[in-house]
Amino acid sequence: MIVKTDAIVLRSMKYGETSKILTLYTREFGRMSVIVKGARGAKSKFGAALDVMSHSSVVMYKKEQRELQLLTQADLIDQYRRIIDHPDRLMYGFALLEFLSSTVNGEEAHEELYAVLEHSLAALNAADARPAAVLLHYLLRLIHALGLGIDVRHCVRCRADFSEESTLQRHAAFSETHGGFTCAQCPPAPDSLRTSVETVGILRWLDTHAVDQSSRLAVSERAAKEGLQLLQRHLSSHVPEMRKVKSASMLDLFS
Amino acid sequence: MLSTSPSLDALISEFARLPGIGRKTAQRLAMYVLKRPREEAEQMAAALLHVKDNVRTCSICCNITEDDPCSICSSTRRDHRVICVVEESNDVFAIERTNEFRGLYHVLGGRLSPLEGIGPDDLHVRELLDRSREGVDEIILAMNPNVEGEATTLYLSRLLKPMGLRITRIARGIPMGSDLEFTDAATITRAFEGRIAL
Repeated sequence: MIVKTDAIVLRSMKYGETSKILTLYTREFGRMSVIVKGARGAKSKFGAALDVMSHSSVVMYKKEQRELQLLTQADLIDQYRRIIDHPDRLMYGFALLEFLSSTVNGEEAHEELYAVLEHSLAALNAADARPAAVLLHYLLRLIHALGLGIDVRHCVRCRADFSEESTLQRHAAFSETHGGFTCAQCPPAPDSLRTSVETVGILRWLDTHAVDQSSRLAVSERAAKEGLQLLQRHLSSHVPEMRKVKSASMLDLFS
Repeated sequence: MLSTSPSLDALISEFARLPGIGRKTAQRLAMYVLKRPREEAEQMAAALLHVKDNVRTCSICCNITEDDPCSICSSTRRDHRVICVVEESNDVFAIERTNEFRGLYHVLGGRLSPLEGIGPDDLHVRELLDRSREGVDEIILAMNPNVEGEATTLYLSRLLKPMGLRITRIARGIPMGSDLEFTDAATITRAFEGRIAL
């Protein structure tokens, strides 16, 4: 069956003399592996459409029983030039792709996951992007879309609202078992990770705003690291088959 | 065991370990070797061992060589003030085929690939920095034109620029023999950005 769908290239590897094997996240079929014959040849018609992070419209010859589908055509929709040309953003772009690729397996359409990735890449590509805020926002949305509920607005024990200043004092405690934070008045769970009030505030703000508004939020280096650590911990504790996200350790490569 | 010969099975298994070679192709290759004269098999075996015994990396440019330093690094006819940085040794062969570039090379041994966990410490970056301090005027960054190549180019240019050298990159754009009509928008954009005055 010949199918056409929008896709974002998650990974690319050389295969044989001139071919490539790609991992795509597609709007209509979810995660897919495809082979593209002749993609590395000097006269390849694909250009940047099959580069990692490219957002393209692709045509495939798809067989249900086959694990590796044959891609025959790709037209570039967006290459996210501001991400590629800005080293600080580029590392965060890689992390967006890898978090999805590490947590999602198998062909299964998930419109929301696709939209989260697409909107986050667009936000990271915006002129005034704040990469750390985009990544934290993306992880919150990814966690929600995967149904792994995390509550960053209320105490997971007494349901106190974190918007009231008295509920948090010098720090909060994040429990991956409970999927959220405990307030200053409640005893922390045994597996808790001590978290600064700043980080909780940032996650709360991001949870209630769209990703394209994240440029309005300044995120300190400490809060960015702390937020990433706890969201990553939450993901890996709920997705046992999650692979290590290698790019997360290289976010500061250009700092 | 698939055949009636354990020796043939062993050879098939060895061929099947090569990248891009599946079990069926390995079987075809093994049958071919079996049918050829013994001398050819000896030549092949000798070539394999010779490569393992004699080929190493040049201590200056990290390219593969049998002599250290390699013939390019030790040549007095090359311009030692210009270094072209490439990802792999295959890229040196490609550039040498042009007979245009007369400088030296530096082979990184890969490119930055955060998705595969390949960082600067996994590449020959420190060796490049050491070389760049001694009588070098220009560094040409010749990475593959993809996102990971771009990350490598940006990373190296940030490291090298403070050293006061001329840092350049090879042009990106439309390949010879292709057609504008069928070139994607990203490539045409890069080609316009890299246009030169005539």
